Amino acid sequence: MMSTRSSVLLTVVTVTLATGPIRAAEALILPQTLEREGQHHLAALEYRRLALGETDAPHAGRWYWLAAHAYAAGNDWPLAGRMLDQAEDLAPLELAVPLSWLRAEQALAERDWASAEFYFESLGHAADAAAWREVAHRGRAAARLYRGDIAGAGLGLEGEPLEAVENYAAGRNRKPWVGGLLGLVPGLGYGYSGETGNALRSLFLNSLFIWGLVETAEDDQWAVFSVLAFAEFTWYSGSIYGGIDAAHRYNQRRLDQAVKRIRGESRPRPSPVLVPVLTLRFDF
Amino acid sequence: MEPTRTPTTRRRPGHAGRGAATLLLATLVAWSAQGSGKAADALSLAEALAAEGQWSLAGAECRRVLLGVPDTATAGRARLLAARAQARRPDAGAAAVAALEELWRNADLDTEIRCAAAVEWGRLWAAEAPREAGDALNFAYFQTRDTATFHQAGRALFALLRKNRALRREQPLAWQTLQSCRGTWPADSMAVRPPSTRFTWQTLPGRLIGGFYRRQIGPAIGMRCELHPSCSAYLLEACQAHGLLGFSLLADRLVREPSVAAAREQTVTLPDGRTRTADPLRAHDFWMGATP
Repeated sequence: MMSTRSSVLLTVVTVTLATGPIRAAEALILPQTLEREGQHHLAALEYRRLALGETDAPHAGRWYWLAAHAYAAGNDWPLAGRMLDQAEDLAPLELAVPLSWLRAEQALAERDWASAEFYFESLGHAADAAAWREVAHRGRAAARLYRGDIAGAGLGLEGEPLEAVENYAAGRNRKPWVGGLLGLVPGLGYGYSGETGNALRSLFLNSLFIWGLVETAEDDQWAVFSVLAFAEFTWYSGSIYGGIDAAHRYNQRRLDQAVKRIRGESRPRPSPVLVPVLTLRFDF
Repeated sequence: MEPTRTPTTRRRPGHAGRGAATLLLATLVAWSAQGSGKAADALSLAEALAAEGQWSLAGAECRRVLLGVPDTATAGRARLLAARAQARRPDAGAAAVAALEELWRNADLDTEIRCAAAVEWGRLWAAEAPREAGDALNFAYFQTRDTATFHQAGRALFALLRKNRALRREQPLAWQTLQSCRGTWPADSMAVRPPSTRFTWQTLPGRLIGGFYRRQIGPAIGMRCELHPSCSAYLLEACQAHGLLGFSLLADRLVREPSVAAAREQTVTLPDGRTRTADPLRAHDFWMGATP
């Protein structure tokens, strides 16, 4: 029969070992709280810590994927990319679908439209769930639209996303060179792209400084004149540049609005309950 | 009649006690291994963060390592990394220098840790005390077996001796060695300035005006810009990327500022807790192609 001391010791060891998973579950509370508070970098750091303490490769890969997701939420795509590399090394097959999705999002954020299209297509091929395929189709359409392939963007879409592509195709872009040319008359370049407030401010500032130039020239105040001339040259060149940039902004806004409609408001997000068994929820 | 004893295998006295002691020992070993494993994990994380340039977080991780039960080697690496992180803080002062000096002069520590600390300390201290810095860099240059540390020590020592003729005369061997092998050093971040700080004549007016505003006017009137980056930072960035065209970009920015600030489409929270509207340069020059 085992002595009382030994029994106590064994009980202590058993309890110590058994509390391991409980501690792991407790460790999850911190990164999730940090994510809720918007402290994505700190949350990612906690996930990385959990990954380093993990002996099972696929589980460690999932932690790295969650770190990538947290970095992505904090708009730090280079670090998100590094974490995705780690996750891909550790669990390439288990995480094929979420990896493709986050890679595609990274490519979109980094304006690498060709890669984004490739990853969304990979996602469409790898995913079994209809929700994932929907994400893939919409994402691929967005990437194609950004690339300027309007006809290709509509392929495989239906309903609201298709309507968004058609509306975009029917609309008209502003021509940057026209904006620049109109910008020779201060304010008109902004006005061409519908930025009335900016147009009025540009007109007012240019008029004010030109008036100042005339007044100082009449009074032979050449030192002040040269300072004002430098400032007026800046405002005037700014008006031309602004006319071009406003046209680009207008076109970009139109494109972004179309993409927003195509992709919908919601994105997949990891389940906070089932981590590290990675489950993604959709809210279409 | 005496009762017959049933033959039983009697335990030797003290058997249970020894078993318990063995179990206790095994538990302690496992516990300590778990502790040092955790310390090693935290140190790996700290080193990864340092490699990513997140020095502040790397420093915090090192503190976590040192609060645990690290073995001597892990503790030495953690102390070195913590000191390096401290040296990279904007308010790095005497504490960082003292920590690095303590590390490189500590003969009980691993030579590689001492060499790395000596390079860092020598670079920090080169302007203040060139002779002591020279000693530290000499130590690192001749003692290290790590290629990266060797190159860094060589570069720093070469820069120090080139500036200081008296030191050069005192260390003819080091100077001769450095001159003969400097052609083999790889170009690294210590030698090449990042493109963002490269000087050209086209960036000069922007630097002068932006720098004057930031040093002389900004502190007096406080941060008034509603956008992030601030207009002076935007000018510097624009001039760095596009030369004199940066002024046109600034004029456009000043005209747009009220409407962008009012729209508050994308906000940024600054480290001091204030919220600003994001208006980065790349949103206005993406159509010009890649930023140089």
